[in-house]
Amino acid sequence: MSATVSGPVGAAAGAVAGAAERAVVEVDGVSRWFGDTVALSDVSFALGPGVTGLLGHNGAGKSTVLSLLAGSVRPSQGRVRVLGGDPHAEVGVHRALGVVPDGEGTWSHATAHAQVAFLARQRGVRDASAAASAVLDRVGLGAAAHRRVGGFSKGMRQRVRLAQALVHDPQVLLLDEPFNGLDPAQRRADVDLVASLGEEGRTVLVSSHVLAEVERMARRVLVVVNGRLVAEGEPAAIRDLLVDRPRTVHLDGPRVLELAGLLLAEGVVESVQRDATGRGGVLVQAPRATALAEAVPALARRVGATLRRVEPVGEDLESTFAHLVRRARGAGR
Amino acid sequence: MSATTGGTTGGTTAGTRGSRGGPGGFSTTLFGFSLRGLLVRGRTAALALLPLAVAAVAVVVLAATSVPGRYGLQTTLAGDLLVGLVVPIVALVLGTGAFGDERESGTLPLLRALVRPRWHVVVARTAAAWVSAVVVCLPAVVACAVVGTSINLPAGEVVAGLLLATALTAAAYCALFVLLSLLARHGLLAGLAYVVLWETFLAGLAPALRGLSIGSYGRRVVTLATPGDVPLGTVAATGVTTSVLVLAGVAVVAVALSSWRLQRMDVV
Repeated sequence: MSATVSGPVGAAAGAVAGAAERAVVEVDGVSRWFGDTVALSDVSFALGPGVTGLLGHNGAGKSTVLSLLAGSVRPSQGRVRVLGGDPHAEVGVHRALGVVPDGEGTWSHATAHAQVAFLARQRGVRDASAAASAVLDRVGLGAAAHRRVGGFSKGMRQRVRLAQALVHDPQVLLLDEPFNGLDPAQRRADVDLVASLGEEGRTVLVSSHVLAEVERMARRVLVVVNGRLVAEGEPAAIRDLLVDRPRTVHLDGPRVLELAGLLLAEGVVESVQRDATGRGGVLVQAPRATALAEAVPALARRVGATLRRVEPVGEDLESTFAHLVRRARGAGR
Repeated sequence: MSATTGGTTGGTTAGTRGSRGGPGGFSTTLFGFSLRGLLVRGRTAALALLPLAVAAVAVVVLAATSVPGRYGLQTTLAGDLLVGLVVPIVALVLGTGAFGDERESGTLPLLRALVRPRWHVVVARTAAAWVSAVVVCLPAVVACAVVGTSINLPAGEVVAGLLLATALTAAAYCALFVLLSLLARHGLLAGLAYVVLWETFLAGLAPALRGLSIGSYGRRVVTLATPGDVPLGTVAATGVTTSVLVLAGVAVVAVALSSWRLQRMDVV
């Protein structure tokens, strides 16, 4: 189990050189800016068969990575190769490349079957109609295949997009937040579907901002923050990176001050301060969140404290990723 | 897979199976799929009201005027209304829609990712816009033909002239507006400004400017279907044959530029 935290300037390139099998997807020193906005900055990685998760908050650059690989946009700098070809310029690449792009991406005037068959035929599938029927069955739209997509729910349209991407049996799949708009049962089913696509030997890159979802299907995770690739590794290692970090936790309950003192004395927390928002209780700053979680129950028993509230402060993906960026910068020095 | 997507509207869907687009049929070709996409929309039906209005004007002309009085009106109907107004507006909406619709629905990346040269996509979609534009304009063409034959112009020339002018002008405009929609995000507005400001106003100010107006070449071609010596306000100075070649040339160059653009552009 390993995770690499890369420095800001292309330390991840080592992963490209280190890839044992010939990479199906190669991204080499790629930057992309739109006007004054830098969407991606010097990103390098390589992908082989299996599911890889692309994790990052909204606006981190996930969609830009996928658009570059899908050939929808060109890199401002660097090189993108999918199956050895340039997906932006060479149409032949798309014979073996399936994409669920960001946003909408269905023809509402056509039936699900008509548009999937159209794409199949335009990508060189011999029996386009049969291929369309089969893939619509696989994504669970068999019964609705001959209805116009304009009347579909968001979840059903999402399935149509998946069918569009899969109909020509591609070797490489790029899925940009494919579970948006799905209810939990659908999400579970589609996570299983994506996992099975990886088990079939396809190279799948799937973006998400939910680590738990990525963990269930990916063997490897790339983390993008503010346009940089800041970490990559196995899901469990990425979880440790994300979870085991300095955190501020709000503790409240009888005898909480004694508990805080003990935590401070034991070195589990670095500082203790009264909660400034008037809720009562204290804020403790722990350098390692997991150590705090392990220590609190035993120490609370020892001082007889009953905790009414144990609540992380500022706990969102933004702060998690911000931590990763700081850490990546530190590693780069 | 999960059963969550099915049951909403019960088992009514199987009945429509097979009623449209056979396996790998017309509706799965590039052209067929593009044409269906343009025609299915309510917008195209609304657009058809414009040429129908021209037809209505023609009916009034036939009912209310004597034969000599129709000479000038035929020129107005065919030159100013059909070629000068209806064709550019219809071509504007359908031409910018050919790729504009795709950009709106997020399907443009899919069209860039087909396993065939991108100029195939441009040709198919421009052709679809062109064919649907000509079809939408047909009521006005028929109306102008009826008025033209009612003033004893040779029927063959009237029909040929009207069809040639409509088809070629529509081709040039459609190709131009397809290009415009690939170059500018708000292609429809840019095209509208072009039609209103340039084609109907500025190009009419000086004879030198008419050589740069698609409409003036179209109006020159439509003189085949209007009374011979009546001068049309803004026709191009060139002959009919040259005008035909210019219109076809504009279409071909615009399609070539659109192909280049689709190959190079980012779709986000």
